[in-house]
Amino acid sequence: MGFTNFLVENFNEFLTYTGFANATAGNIAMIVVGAVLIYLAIKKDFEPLLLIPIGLGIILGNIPFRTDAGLEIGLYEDNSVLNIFYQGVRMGWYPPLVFLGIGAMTDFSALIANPKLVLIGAAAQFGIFGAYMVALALGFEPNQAAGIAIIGGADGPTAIFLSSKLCPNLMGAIAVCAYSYMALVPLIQPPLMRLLTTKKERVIRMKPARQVSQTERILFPIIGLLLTTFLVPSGLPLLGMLFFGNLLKESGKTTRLAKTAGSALNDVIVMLLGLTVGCSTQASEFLTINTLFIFAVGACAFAVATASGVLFVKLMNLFLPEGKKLNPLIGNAGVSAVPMSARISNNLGLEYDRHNFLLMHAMGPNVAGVIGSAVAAGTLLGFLS
Amino acid sequence: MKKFGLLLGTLLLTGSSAMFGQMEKSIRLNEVMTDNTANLQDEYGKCEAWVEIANVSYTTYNIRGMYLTTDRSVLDKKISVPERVKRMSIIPNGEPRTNLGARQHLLLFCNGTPAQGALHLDVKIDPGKPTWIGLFSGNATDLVDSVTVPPLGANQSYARVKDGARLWQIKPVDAVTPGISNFIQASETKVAKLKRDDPYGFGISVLAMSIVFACLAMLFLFFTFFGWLMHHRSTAKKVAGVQPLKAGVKTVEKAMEIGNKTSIILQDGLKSKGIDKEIYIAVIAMAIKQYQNNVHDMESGVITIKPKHTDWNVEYIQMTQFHE
Repeated sequence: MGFTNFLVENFNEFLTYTGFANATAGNIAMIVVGAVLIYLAIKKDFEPLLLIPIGLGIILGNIPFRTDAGLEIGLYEDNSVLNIFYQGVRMGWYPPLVFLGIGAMTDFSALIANPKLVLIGAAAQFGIFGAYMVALALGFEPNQAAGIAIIGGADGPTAIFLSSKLCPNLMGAIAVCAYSYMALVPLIQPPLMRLLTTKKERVIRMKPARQVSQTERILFPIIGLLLTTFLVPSGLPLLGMLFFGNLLKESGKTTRLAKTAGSALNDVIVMLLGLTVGCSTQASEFLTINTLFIFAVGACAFAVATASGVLFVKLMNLFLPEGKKLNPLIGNAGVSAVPMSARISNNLGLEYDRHNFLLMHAMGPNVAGVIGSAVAAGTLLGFLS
Repeated sequence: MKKFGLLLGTLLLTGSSAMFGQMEKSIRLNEVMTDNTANLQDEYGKCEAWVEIANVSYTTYNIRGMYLTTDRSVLDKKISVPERVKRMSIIPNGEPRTNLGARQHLLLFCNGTPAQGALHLDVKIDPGKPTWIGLFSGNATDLVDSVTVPPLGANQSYARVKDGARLWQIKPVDAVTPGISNFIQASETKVAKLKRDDPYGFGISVLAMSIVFACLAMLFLFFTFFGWLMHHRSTAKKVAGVQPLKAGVKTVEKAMEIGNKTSIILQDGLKSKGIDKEIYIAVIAMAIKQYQNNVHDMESGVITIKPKHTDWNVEYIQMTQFHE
C-alpha cells in the first residue's frame, strides 16, 4: 500500500510539472502565432532565415511549465541555458555582431559610384521619426516611442539593439513586429510606390554606375566610420561593426575573416538572436494591447518610410538635369530591408519596362538605409538613454 | 622584418601602457575625513579617519596593489622603489571590494593597523593638521592622484564638489557622503524632460532627422568629391597608358612619353586619348587588310567527335587476379 501511495503521489506531482497542467490560453495562442510564422517562412518564403528561428522561439518560449519549481529552464530564469543565450539580446551584443556580418557581405560600390543615392537612405528614415510622433500620440513614453519607431528603419538588429537599451520590456514585440513587416515588404511597398509615381516616372532609365576602384571601396568603411561616429558616437556599436565587417571584405587581405563574419559567425548569431527573441515573447508579456499598438505604429512607420523615400527621389528629380534623373521606384529601397526592398524596386521597374533593371541602382539607397537607420538609432539613444 | 616586429611590439606596448595609465587616472581620491568622532564606524565599531576612493569611469577597475601614503617624501623620484614601498601602505590583494565597478566608491580606514582588515591601511592621519595624501599606482612610482587636506573640524570632510571634479570643498557634518557620490541631485530624467518639453515629438524628430541627414550628407559630399578625383585620376592614367609613376622609376624616357601624349591631347583634344592620329590610321588600315585577306579565325561552329576505342570499361582491368 505504501508503495502504491508513493507511485500515485509522485505521478501526481509529475503531472503538475507538465505543460498540460500549466498551459494557459495565452500560451496556446502564442504557439499558434509561432506556427503561423514558421508556415509563412516555409510555404510563402517570407524571410525564412529569421522567421523560422523566431517562430520556433515563440513556441519554445511558450511551452508551459511550473515556474515556481526552480528548474532553471525558462528564458527569464537565471542560469538557464536560454537565459545565457538571451544575454546577447539583453546586453545588446548580438545586433552589432549581425552588423559585422552585414558589413562583410555588403557591397557599397553602388553607393560609392553614385553618392547622391545616400540621401535617399537618409530621407527614408523619416519613417522612424513619423512613427515616433504617432507612438507618442498613442500614449507611449518617449523612450518606448523611440524603441517602437525604430521599426520604421526596417532593420531587425537595429530595432533589437535600440529597444533592448530603451524599453527592454517591449523588445520582444518590437523585434517580432520589425521582422514580420520586413517579411511583408513585398506586400506593403508596391501599392505605395504605384500610388506615388506616374507611369512616365516608372520607366525612367538610369545610367549604369561607373566602376569603383578598390581604393574607394577600402576608404569607404574608414571614412564612413569616422564621419558617422564622430557625429553620432552613440551609434558606435552598430556602425563600428558594420564598417569593420566591410573593411574586412574590401581590404582584400582578410578574405578568410570576411568569409567567416559573413557566413558562419553571422549564421550562428542569427540563429541565437532569432530563437531568443522569439522566446522572449512569452504570452504574459506579448499578448497585451501595447503589442497591437506596436504593430499599428510599425505599419505606419513602414508606410511613411517608403513614401518619404519615393517622394524624396521625386524632389531630387526637380533639381537634376534631364538624362541624370533618378527612377522614383528606387526610393522605397531607402528602408534598410536588404536586399528585399531593392529587389522590389527592380521587379516593379521590370513590370513597366522589361529592359529597365533597377537592382544595382536600388542597392545604393538600400545600403545607405542600413547606415541611416544605425545613425538614427544612435541619435535616439543619445537623446533618450 | 625584425625591425618591423620591434616597431610593432613597441607600438603595442606603448599603446597598452597608455591605456592602462588612462584607466588608473579614472581612480581618484574623492573624499577624506581626518577627524572622525561620530561619523562612519569600521567593523569594530570604531570611528577612524577614512579616505574615499572613487572610480569615475564606466569600467570596472581593481585597485588592489595600488599604494596610499601621507608621506610627501615619496614625491622625490630618486628614492628607490623598495624604500618607497616602506613609506606607503598597499591596498591588499584578495579583497573583492577593491574591484571597483563603474562609478563606485570604496572607503579605506587610515588608522595604521592593517591587521584589523583588508580595508584598514598602514597609514595614520593626524586630525586637526593639514595632511597630504597620495595615491600611487602598482609600481609605487607613478602618482595617480593626490590632495592636500586642510585642517578639518570634527566629522567634517574634504571632498570633491562632484565625483572626479577638479574643485574640492569642506563639507559640513550633515553633508558628508561616505561611500556614495559627492553630489546628489534628484534631477529630472531625460525622458521626463523630453516628455515635458516636446510632448508631440516634433522637436526631437526635426533634430534627429537633421542629424541623420547631416551624417549622410557628409558621406555624400566626401564621396562625390573623392569620386570626382578618382575619375580624373583614372582618366589621367588612361591617357598616360601606364601605371602612375613611382618615385624610384621616374625616367626621362617616361617623362618624354607623357609629354608627347599631353601635347597630342592639347593638339587634338581629350578624345584622342593621347594617341597619335597616325597610329589610329595604321591600326584601322591593318584591320581592313586583315578583313580583306580573311586572316581572322573563322570557326565552323561544328564539333566533330570521332570514336576511339580506349578500353576504359573493360572488366578485366578492374579485377584482381588470385595467386595460384
